[in-house]
Amino acid sequence: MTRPLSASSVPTPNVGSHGINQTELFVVIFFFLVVSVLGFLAARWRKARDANHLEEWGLGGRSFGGWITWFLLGGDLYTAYTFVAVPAALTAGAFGFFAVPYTIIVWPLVFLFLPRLWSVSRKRGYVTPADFARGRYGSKSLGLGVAIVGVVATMPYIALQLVGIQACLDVIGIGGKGSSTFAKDLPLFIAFAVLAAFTYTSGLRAPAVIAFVKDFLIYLVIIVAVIYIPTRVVGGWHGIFHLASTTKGKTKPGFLSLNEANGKANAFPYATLALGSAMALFMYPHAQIGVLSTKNRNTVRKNLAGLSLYSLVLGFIALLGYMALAVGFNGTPTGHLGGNAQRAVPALFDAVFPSWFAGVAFAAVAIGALVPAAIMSIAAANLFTRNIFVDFIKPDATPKQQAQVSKTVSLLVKFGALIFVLGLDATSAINFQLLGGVLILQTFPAIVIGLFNRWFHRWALVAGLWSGVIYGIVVAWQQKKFAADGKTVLQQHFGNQIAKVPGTHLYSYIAITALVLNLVVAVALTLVFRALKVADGVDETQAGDYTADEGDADLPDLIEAEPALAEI
Amino acid sequence: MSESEQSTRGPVVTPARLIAAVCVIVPFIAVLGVPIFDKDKPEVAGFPFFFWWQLLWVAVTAALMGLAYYVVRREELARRPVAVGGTVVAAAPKADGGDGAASSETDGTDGTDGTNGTEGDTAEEGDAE
Repeated sequence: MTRPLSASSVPTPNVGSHGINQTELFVVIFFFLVVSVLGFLAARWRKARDANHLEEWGLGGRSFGGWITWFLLGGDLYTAYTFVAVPAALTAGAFGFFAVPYTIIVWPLVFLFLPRLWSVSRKRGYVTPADFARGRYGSKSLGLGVAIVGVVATMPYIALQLVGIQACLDVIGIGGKGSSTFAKDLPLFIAFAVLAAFTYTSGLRAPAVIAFVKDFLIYLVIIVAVIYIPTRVVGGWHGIFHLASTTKGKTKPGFLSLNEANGKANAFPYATLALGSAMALFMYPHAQIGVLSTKNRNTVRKNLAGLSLYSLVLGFIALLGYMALAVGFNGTPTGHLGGNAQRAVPALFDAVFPSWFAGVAFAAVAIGALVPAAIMSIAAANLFTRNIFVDFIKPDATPKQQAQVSKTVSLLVKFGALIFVLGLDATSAINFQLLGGVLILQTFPAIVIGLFNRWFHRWALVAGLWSGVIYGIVVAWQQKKFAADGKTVLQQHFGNQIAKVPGTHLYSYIAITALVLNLVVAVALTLVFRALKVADGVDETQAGDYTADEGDADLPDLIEAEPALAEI
Repeated sequence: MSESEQSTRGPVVTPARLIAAVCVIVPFIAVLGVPIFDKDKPEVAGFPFFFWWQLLWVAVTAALMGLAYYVVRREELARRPVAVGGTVVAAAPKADGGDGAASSETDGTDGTDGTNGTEGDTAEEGDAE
């Protein structure tokens, strides 16, 4: 380039160097109040026949049509993961862009298996993925395994949402220099108290209503950001890519494509991260909730083309990371972010937008973190209640008691997530989501393969699940995160989710390696158990269940008929 | 997979299902085949190849999903002359107690009404898998 490129027109103040930006804080609080009021009102919306029933509190009465589903599923994709963690990953290079292929291939996967999951769940009254695993394989142990993994895997994902909110508050100036530990964490506690309160009273209806507000704010902010910020950087998009990929006049490898300098060593990890994340997404209990609460079998399929819009916006949000680099923010100690790349997007908004609009943007990010956190905690709570509490602790629990336990557990899960934030290094938040993925992906054989085929033996699936989980945890535990110099260890355990595949030279997302182990164990043991004639479980589902649809004459009524409970 | 479910249906491979299967498979190849797009030139509108290729595939995948839904749904409706609400699906007996045999058993049951058009989906899903 002969034309000099610079971004000098954008100031890059150090995060925490100014006091609290009162305009930003005021705007954030305003939207927070609006959303809280909406959450409480949501309980009255589409008035529930029996609000204390788990199917009502946890699945919104399975009545959501296309539009609401579109917003609700958006909550699974637009989270602090999208807004904070992915752009932060991009500040370290093009590798972080794996989130885009991830959210592309998630839709064909959904097209394949979700209608069958919807049908069998509707027909048999399943509320959680573990309900299905138990019913399909006649194995409470398998249901328990899926439930435990689901609850635990959800916690780091909720933790990621907390990190996102924290990054915004840091940039606003709350918890900046000089603040005590208490002052730093207090806003988080307040945010979660509000979230917990309206989740507790409204169930899934609260996040569904708030999702409208959230998506409106997010689209507004993103459209403005994607159109406006490139005009502030000389050279527009070309300038952004050029500035983000050069340092002191030299092009850095791995920014304009994966790895121009050192061959294609990054290709396999990139593809496995995308594939593993995509396969994992709809294994999360919260993502399945979005699907099961739809009105009929094809609601989701019909909306797939529209849902892809989320992926496109995610791609542009990811590039906010490059915009942050282009104007001078980066995760190094001298990069104005206090060495924490998670602050890149909030700091960018703070630098380029007037305070009031930066406030709107922070509100979008914060609410965008709260809604999924609410859905996730509800989903994890449903799992616990149905497949741990009822199956193993109190089989004769009434629907009202179940709803009560769910509500309590949803609170506990949120606090569990808080412990993750405080316990692990939060400067690489994408790790939280990837760690959750390592665990949750291990339920894939029991759920997705089970939807099509019942060849696997139930005990082989249980063994495969736990082999995968244990392998994943052990390998992830051994991982370290290194500073840019390649020597300094920043985080001792769980610092990174890419590891060498044993016996090869390939590096892969741990979740995929663990899944392969899981499948190998499941196949081998199925053959062994069949040879030994170990009793197979009773499959309570029938072929026709997998294609049942709204309007079929033999569908059970939503509230009265609870096959899973009735048989106990 | 799920052959037993398809055995009493019409042809398993139909043009519609084939189209849907292609629509579902192609995005995987396009975005997981990293060597295809792991380069920075040619640039489009300032975006290096690596980036615009993947963003482009978001739009292409959206279109493919729309097409897949359209062809599968159209075939489904063609097979089902009666509206969903009016369909009488044979009430299959619950808890049949068969392990694994359950699938083939019920197949006969809903095969008798012959109007369960959603069956088309099943087979399609099986194919593409």
